[in-house]
Amino acid sequence: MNNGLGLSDNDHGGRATGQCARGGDLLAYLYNEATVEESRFFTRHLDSCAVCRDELVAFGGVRERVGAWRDEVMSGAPKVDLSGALSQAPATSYDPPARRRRARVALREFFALSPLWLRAGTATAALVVCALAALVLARTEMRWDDNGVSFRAGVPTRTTVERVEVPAPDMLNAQQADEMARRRVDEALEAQRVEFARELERAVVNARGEAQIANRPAPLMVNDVRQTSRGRSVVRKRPNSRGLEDVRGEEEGLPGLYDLLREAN
Amino acid sequence: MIETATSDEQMVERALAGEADAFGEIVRRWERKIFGLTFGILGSAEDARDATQETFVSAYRNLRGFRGEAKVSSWLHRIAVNHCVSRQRRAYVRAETALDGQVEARGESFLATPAHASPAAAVEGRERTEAVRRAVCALPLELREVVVMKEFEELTFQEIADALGVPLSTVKSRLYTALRQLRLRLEKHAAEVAPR
Repeated sequence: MNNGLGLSDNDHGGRATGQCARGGDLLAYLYNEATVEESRFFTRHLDSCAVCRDELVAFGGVRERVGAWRDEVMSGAPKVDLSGALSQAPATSYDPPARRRRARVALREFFALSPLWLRAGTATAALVVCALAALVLARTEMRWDDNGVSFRAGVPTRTTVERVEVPAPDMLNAQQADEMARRRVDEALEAQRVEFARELERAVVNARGEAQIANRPAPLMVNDVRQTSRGRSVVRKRPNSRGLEDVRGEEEGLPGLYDLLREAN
Repeated sequence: MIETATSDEQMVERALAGEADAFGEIVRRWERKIFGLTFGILGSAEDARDATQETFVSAYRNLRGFRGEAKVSSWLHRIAVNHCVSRQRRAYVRAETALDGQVEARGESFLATPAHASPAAAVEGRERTEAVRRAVCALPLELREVVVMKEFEELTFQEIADALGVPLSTVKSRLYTALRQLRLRLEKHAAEVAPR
């Protein structure tokens, strides 16, 4: 059936039923935006493509009817009066008065569109806020006891002096105390180590002196004695120990330690 | 496109320089086309008039924002489309539903038939126009704006692409889809009113 648009009843205009891949060329041809070469090529294509032929006729009918509607619309197009709107200074992106006005209008519109319960709730909340603000400004004191609720206006401002704990300068915190204890322990250990070394030196000197007097073999040197990890002294054996005569021969040219100590005393 | 003695871009420069009538000339040049665009998208004469006015007011206030990268016409079209979209969003009403009530209320003056037409022809013409209006306004917005720009404004594909900020192929694809949907709707309407 022909419906006046050149459309057939079995074509429903959907993409699934009969569609050619040259839709873009069809549009360019339909709206006279194709070049001469493109038009010639598409005309040849029309001879062999029934889908494009059908759509070309149908789209032409659509354009005709839309054009008729457009002519009616544009024949009654009103003249836009911008004299009032354009009286302001042009080209300013910042317009504070207009923005304030818009916010007010938006607020008014919001309340106009709001239901009654929302308006009542908003008004009540506003009243409560105003009342609280007034009470604060009037320095009102509210008391609730056995006699009921009582208000008293003009309450003087209370000044509360807070007690601030200031730590004494000689007090130490835990970290400082630990540090001090560690330092003292180290000092005590160092003092013990020094004292032990002195005693050992003294013992060696005494032993050498006695040995010199009694022509006994030379006592051990300080370096020959080492301390184990348990604090006990261990005597290191010397390989190839020499006889007392050899030592005595070597030491004959040197002053004896015993003599030196005696001179020092 | 008719070449004007003074280009739109030059008129914008004059307006920025403080020439009072320069922007008025731009309005005179483009008010009908912008009205056609807004009417095609919104489907209501009253809304279209308001949207057209808002478009030019916005353009005037943001005149310094026009950098000359696009044509003035593309710039105005983009502003107009944005105003139409925001109007429709504000309304929270689908275009077709809104138009249904509006055309009976205030579309009469726009869709009036010529006085010399017979009553039967007048009724038939009105029905046909109404069918087109319904079909166009039932299109999704992205398809509708392309149809209106092409049929009302007679813009080229490239100008539409510039105004909407979409590729050329997208414009063609949307227009092709829109024409197929319009064909379907008009065919359906023709089948309904055809004598049985």
